[in-house]
Amino acid sequence: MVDVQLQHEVEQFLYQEAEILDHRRFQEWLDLFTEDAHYWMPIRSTRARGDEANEFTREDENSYFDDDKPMLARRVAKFDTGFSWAEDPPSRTRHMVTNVRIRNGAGTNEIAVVCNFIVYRSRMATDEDLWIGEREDLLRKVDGQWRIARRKIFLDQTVLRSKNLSSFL
Amino acid sequence: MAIDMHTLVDRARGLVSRRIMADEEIYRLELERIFNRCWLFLAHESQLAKPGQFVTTWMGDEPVIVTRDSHGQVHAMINSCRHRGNSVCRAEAGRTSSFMCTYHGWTYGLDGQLVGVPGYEERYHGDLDRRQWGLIPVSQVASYKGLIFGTFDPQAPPLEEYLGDARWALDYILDQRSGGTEVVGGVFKWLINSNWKLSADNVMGDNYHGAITHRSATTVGHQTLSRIERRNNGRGDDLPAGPGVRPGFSAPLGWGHGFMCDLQPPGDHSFMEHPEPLRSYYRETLPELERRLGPMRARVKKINLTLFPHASFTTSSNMLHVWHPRGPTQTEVWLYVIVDKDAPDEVKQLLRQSAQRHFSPSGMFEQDDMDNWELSTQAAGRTISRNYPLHYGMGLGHEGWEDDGVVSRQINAINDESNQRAFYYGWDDFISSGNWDALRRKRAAWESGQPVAEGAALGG
Repeated sequence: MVDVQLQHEVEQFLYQEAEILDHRRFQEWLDLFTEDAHYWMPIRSTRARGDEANEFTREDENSYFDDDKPMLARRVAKFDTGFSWAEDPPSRTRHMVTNVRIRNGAGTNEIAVVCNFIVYRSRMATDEDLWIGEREDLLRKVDGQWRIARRKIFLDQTVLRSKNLSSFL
Repeated sequence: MAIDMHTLVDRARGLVSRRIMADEEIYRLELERIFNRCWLFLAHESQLAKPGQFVTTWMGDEPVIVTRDSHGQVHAMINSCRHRGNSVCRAEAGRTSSFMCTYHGWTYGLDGQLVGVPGYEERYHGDLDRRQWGLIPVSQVASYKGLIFGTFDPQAPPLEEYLGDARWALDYILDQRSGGTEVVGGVFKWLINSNWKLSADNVMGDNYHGAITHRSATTVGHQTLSRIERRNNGRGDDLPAGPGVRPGFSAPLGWGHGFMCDLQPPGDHSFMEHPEPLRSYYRETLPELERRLGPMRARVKKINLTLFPHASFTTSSNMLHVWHPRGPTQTEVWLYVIVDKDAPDEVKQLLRQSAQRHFSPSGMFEQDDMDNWELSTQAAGRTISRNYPLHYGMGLGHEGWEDDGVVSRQINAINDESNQRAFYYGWDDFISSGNWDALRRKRAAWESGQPVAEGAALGG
């Protein structure tokens, strides 16, 4: 059975991260990642039953995000340039994180955590987006704090029903 | 209100009616006269490397299946069963030997022929000519250096004639190396609420918006992999600080095609603006490029090309955007990354990452284009605004046409809206011409520099 204390700790960490994003404290959000972090979101396609192996692009294929920490930092720096039109006026996001499961590594410094997410974006007067999917995080304890070392984001949509992805998932 | 189709593009003043960006009636006409007649990009051959592989795509409002059969032949046909009309394929891509309709089981081969009808003897009494009831074929299918195109018009000219001088740019993209090209796995697909033409005209000719629209990306030091050396103008963008023009040329061609080509100074093949391993790759493959395509294309830094109507290439990051219309005010964007097949994996990875980080939906550049196009489209549908035309007149009358260029219609500068004007002249030609003879006359007139004056004056 999973350690209840660890489960609680991980959930609180993910809720904290959601709050930081929704409150647009992006510099703080960057601090949640390890220096060697990798942030990746493959493309999904509609495939026939039996062809599920090809549903998501592989790591050597195209992806929405394939970022190291400096790239994430550049995305964050972009918001503050005064010319970042996709986020000016800024989007209003709400990150819901649920179904948190600790997959393995309990009792060590690195644990694999899977969760479901719903991210709602409201923008300008009536623009709305809904991004729903599953995340696989590798969390690492650094100086007594959990940090995100890997994040894989698996969206449920194949054709993205959004004009852009200027928010983090 | 009936719309006079002859008053939508004002060539004398470089004005374009906003109505063509939002009007339902004009959109229906575009489907009939443009998307059902022009050669449209369908797929890259590397997506159909093996027999039985297929992809599904759009040709205007028609869903199409593109296949490679067991003999290696490529086919394209409408994804709709001839019995009741249901789709016969629901996947985006895959591999199969046939397509069975899930309604009653009519089954079609990879060439679209009807090969199976449940109850053919018992219920139809053998009285059904299966040869007449195959999937509706795309009238013509042809490849150009790895790209597969199709047209619904049996009268359409051969693909190479349709592409015309745009081949000069296409060859640069597709034919630098003997091994040809391939696409990276995965096609980005996303929906934007804007008219397809605003995107198509942007890529081929808008050398004006970067300094404003994309300023945030360049401000934080994010640069495309274009072969343009960055000028130190304090803003980090790719426009000259003062008056002047980018070294290169614009090619506003007939039938709505057009491209911008940035050039290196003669003799400069340093590629210093590129990160490794791309820099070394370009240096090492330059002799092959020059041997295959000649000295002029060995000087190319970057090409932006739109093949009319909706296929836009950008050689920074080697991208192909296809702007599928999903109605007058919605576009489904498909983004492919094209790489030399024989390039090292590290080069392919760099180009893939660059495309994703710049021009996918999350791209540092692309994300800032979308609101501009969506809000422009919304305005085009409004009752007062739509009567005020859009200004595409930058540089009209000041072009400085070159007669001795590498293509028929050339301006040795990249600093106006000539390419966008050529796009809307081509659009107008297709909308107003009933047959290909008329279209050929108009293209010949445009490319000879003596365009037939057409189109009435617009208000505003």
